Formats: sequence, C-alpha cells, structure tokens
Amino acid sequence: MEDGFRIDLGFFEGPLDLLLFLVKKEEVSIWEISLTKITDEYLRYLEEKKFINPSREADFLLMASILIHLKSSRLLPKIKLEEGEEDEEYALRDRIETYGIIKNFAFALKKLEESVNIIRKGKVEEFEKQIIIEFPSLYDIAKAFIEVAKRKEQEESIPYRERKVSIEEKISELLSVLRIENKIKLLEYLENSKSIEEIIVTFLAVLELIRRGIIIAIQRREFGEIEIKLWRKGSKERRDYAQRIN
Amino acid sequence: MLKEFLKDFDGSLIDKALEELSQEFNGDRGIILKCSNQGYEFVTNPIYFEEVKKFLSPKNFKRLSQASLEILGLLAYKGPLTMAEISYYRGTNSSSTLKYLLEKGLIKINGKKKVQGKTSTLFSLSENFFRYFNINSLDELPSIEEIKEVIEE
Repeated sequence: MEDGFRIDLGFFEGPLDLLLFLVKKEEVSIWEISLTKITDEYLRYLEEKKFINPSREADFLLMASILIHLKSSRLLPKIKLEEGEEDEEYALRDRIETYGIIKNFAFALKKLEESVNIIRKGKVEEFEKQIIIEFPSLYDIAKAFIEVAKRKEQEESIPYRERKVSIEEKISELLSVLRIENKIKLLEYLENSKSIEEIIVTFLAVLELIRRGIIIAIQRREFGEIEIKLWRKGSKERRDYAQRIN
Repeated sequence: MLKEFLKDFDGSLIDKALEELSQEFNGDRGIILKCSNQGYEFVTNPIYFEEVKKFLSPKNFKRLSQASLEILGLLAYKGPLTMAEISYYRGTNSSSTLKYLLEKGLIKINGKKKVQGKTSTLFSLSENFFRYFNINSLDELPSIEEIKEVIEE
C-alpha cells in the first residue's frame, strides 16, 4: 500500500516533506527562505546518499528552481511577476500549506482510529475458527493451572519439592538398567522422564558415559532408533567400531 | 426497499419504536443500539470492547496505512478532489491507495469534473468514513486553525 516513492532518512522523506521540513526548521515563511542554505543542505544530503531516485531528485530540482526564480524576481525591484508566475507562486504555497495540514489530519485520524471501541461486525467463520483453534490458548490454560497451584500451596502448604536427579545418579541408574537389559532404546527411555530437566540430565549422562568409553550409542540405519549398550571388550559393536576407525 | 415499504407508515411511530429499542439496548448489555448522524445501528458495547476483541482475529483491527490516512485527511480538508489533485497535493502517485479506500468504502465517487476538456472522477469521504472513525461530523477533527497553530510552533 505504501508508495515506494519515499526514502526514510529519519528526519525527512519525499521532496515536499523536505521543503516543508526545511521551512519549519528555518522558522521562516517560504518568502524568506535562505536559498543558499537549502541548496547547501540539499547538496550535503545528496553527498550522503549512495543511491538516488531520479524522479524524486527531479521533483526537488523543479521546486528549487521555482523558488529561486520567485526569490530572484522578488529581489530585483520593479519587475512585476507575470500572471502565470503569480499563479505558480500561489499554487506552490497552497501545496506546501495543504501538505502540512493533511499530515496533521492524518495524525488526528490515526488517533481516532485507535480510540474506536465498538465493533459492528466480525466474520462469523473467523469467530468460530477462533474458538476452536486459539481460544483458550495454551498460555491461558497454563496460567490458570499456575494460579490454582499457587492457591493450593497457600491453602494446604504441603511441602512439595520435585526430587532433582543429578547426572551421577542418572549414570548409575543407566548402568544398572544396562547390566540387566543389555540395551536401552533411548527414545523410549526418555519418554518416561518426569520433567524436561530429567531429559536434559539423561542426555548429559549418556554423553558422559560415551565419553568415558563405558557405553556406545548405535543407530542401525538412517533416522533409525538410537540404542545404547555397554561397551564390552570383544563385543560385536566394539569390533565394528574398531574396523570403522582403522 | 425498506423506505418504499415504510412510505405509508407514520414516522412518529418509527421514532417511538426506535426510542423504545434504544432504552432496551442500553447500559451494560453486550449489544447496544447506537444513534448517530448516520442513523441507528446495533454495535457491541464499548465497555466490553477488550473482551469482544479477544474473540475476533486481529485482521478485524487492521489499521489504515499512512498513505490512506493522508488521503482521508486531504479529502476532509479540501472536499471532493480528483485522483490527479490528490496525487498532486501528496506529491506522490495515489491510485492504488484510492482503490483500496474505495473497496473499503471509506471514500466514494462524488460526480465528475471537467479539467481542460478532460472529465475526471471526483472522490469524497463516504458516510462509512464517519462510522469507521466513530464520529458524527468533521467538527470532531481538529480545526484548520488548530492545525495551523501546531505547524507554526
């Protein structure tokens, strides 16, 4: 929707804006603009730019030349402006003034739009879809749970603390399971975790055991299930691994 | 059509019925009957705005672009204008934004104007513009004098 005609430099955009901005900055009417200053500022602005928009720069040049023409006509005494030039002068003033006014109107309308607090219609299909998919959101439900939990805590004050599992504990747990069951299917095992924390601890424990050379992780095919086994001397896996790295 | 149907009706009866409805749809009800210069309409109660909003997709609350706001502001200030005039005052081509505003019903075609032998369409604010911004008239916008003061500062 926005016209790709503008370049945002933070403090001005568009040729009319540029003029208006400079007029405002100088705090003078357009009849008293210092054209040297405008020209200097414009040249500095051009120097700072890496790319120029030819049609925009042409717009500026046209307006600047009108201004220069008007000003020089003013400075020379007893030269009456021709009829067309007076029209031009009026048209330019009208345009700049109007531009300032619509900018302010646009701002006022924006504030009004934000303050509208009634609804006339909302599409019914959207309404239904909304309820199924997004209402209430997971966040809402979680929030409700937390609130209830907090209340319960206050009411009953049962000291409840989740038992934290350390990596060392997880390591001995893994090893004792491996001694009995020969292998562990990793995903299956992780699914029995009570918390995200426990999943992370298990993961770290597995990495640690692999690093110490106590267990080996095996994936028999691409995207296949990962199993962990004890790293026994003379086992098939150990022979396979030795072959691979030699 | 409704007008045709009601033409033999006593106008005061309609006024009375509307008056009764307004009283009923009032206060803390979810839907209220809103009376403005554009007539009567059922809308959601402002006091429940935040709640009702939650049920509607954000699409319903899409804000107008800066270009749209500028064109509406220009039409509010200058009255009916042609596309060329709008582009002229804004210093940039405004055709696509005008099309969008027409589709949205915020502006309407308001006659034709002959400029140098060429007929151009005039655009002006629509009734829906006032409904959209929830105002009765342009008097509720800052006056030109107020705006000029701001610019002077």
